[in-house]
Amino acid sequence: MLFHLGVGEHFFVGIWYNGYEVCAKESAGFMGFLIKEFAYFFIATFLLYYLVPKKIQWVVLLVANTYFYYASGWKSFVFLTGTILVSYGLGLLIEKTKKKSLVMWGSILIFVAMLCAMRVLPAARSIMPLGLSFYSLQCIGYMIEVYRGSTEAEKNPLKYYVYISYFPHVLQGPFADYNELKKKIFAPHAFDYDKAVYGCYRFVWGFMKKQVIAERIGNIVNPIFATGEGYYGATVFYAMVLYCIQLYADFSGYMDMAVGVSYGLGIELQENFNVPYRSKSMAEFWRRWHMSLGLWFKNYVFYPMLRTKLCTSIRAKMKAKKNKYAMNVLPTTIGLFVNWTLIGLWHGFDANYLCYDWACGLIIILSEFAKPLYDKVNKAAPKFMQSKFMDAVRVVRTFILVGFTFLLFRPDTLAVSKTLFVNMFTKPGIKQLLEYGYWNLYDEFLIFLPIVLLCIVDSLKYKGVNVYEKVHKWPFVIRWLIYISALIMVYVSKFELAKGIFAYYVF
Amino acid sequence: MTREEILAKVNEVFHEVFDDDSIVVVEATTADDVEDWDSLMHITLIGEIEAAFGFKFQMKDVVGMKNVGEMLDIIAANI
Repeated sequence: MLFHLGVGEHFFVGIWYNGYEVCAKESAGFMGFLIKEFAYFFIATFLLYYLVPKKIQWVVLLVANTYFYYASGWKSFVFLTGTILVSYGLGLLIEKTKKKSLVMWGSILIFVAMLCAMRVLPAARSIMPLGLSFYSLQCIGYMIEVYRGSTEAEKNPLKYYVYISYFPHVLQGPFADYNELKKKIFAPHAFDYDKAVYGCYRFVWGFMKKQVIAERIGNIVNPIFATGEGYYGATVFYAMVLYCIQLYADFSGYMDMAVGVSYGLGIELQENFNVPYRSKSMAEFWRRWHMSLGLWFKNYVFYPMLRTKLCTSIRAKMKAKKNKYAMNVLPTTIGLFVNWTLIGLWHGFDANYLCYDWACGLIIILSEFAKPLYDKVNKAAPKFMQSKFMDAVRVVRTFILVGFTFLLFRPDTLAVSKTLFVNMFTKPGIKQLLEYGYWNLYDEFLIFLPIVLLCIVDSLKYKGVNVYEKVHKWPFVIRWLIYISALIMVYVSKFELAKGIFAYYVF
Repeated sequence: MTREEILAKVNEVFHEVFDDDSIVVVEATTADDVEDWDSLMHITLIGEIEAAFGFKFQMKDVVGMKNVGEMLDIIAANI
């Protein structure tokens, strides 16, 4: 989703679209579906959805999804429809045929080949539709579930179409399990005021994160990430920390908006972020960051990989040798390597994506290898190792490690990443940071309070507090003061910032 | 084998896999309740339960089981 924010008065901003996925990073080719138009689109969908008989509410979604995606261009629409029809047919075939395994693998191959072709062939890149990487994985997941027998193949192609093309999640997720989502999408929904208000909160909060924090941080860090040349030490570190905040605000902001819109229709989507920067290890970080992607790869790549003959035979051999450590670590290493390689290729065929995902996998693998050492240290000084101080150290360490991996992810090429890493450790760059900070003082001033607010909200969430419920119970005047403050912050942002695209939109 | 006997044997497997004899799992126990029962250890645990009871979990069960109670259901249906 790409929210075009230059339009002005319309607070209940809208949805992006148009343009091609591969062009998104350059933001070339975007035509944009304006905020005002999304507001009309959503209000019309919302009203129709609750006015029609509940049995046919899903038909309203069918029309809305079709319109929503068609607005991104007829080529993308035809591609999406074709993809959905193919996976629908393959799902039925997998269910009926006796050669289930063969058909399932053939189906996966078709989708993987299509994704590869779209990324590699120049002719295909020009028609690459929005959200292809996301909805292709949804289709593959569905076909595997049919193969496993955990879901029946959907007989109604229109209902299957609604599931895949559901407009809040079709472009960037969150990935939804067919069994779970069909219960919600095809269930009758009466208008629920509380849910609608909650949806509004989530949407506005997500929009704030995207527009006020992520976009403005972009102003500060983009010059540093452009070539990496001439920026050193503390300045690069500063950009790295800010980028961690930017990507989180951007991607989780999108998710808040998607979840909020869906809530308005009474349909709960899976959460995709759970306070990731409070993680104490890289493995925990990936259980809290882009959770639905992690779950998809765990269910369809990592677990099946660990159940292959290769991994089970290694485990059996190590068990026979009574080497419990190797029995766990070796198959896990193989599984993690395959898993992270595939996630890297899913992100894109660029070397920096692959290196980024390998770096994440490598850190998790190394911490698995080092586990006996950690256990010894934990046993030697249990009080100290379980202290709040050590927890804080682990959180900071994980944040910095994540930041290092983002230095591979954010720049356009691996050469820029290399320059940034080298420059970070060659000169202190403190004086440069002070100067750079001074030149960006205006942006820094404007993001300071929103970031503090984000930290407070996340801290409360981490403690299990439902912030939205709390705010909802506050007096009317205070709530409206918050809304007006949010409006002012967004308004201040909109005058100067370029039309933003979501960072994950490129996938 | 009664359900209680299955649960007792499952507890033994947990002790073996997690190297901790103090673990006591009950029907409602989930991965969140057992330290170290993460996705990396889950497959080792599944493999050891298969070895202990002499059957193979289906992939949908490996992925779908929500707690020990569901694990017991699957074991009971397969032995």
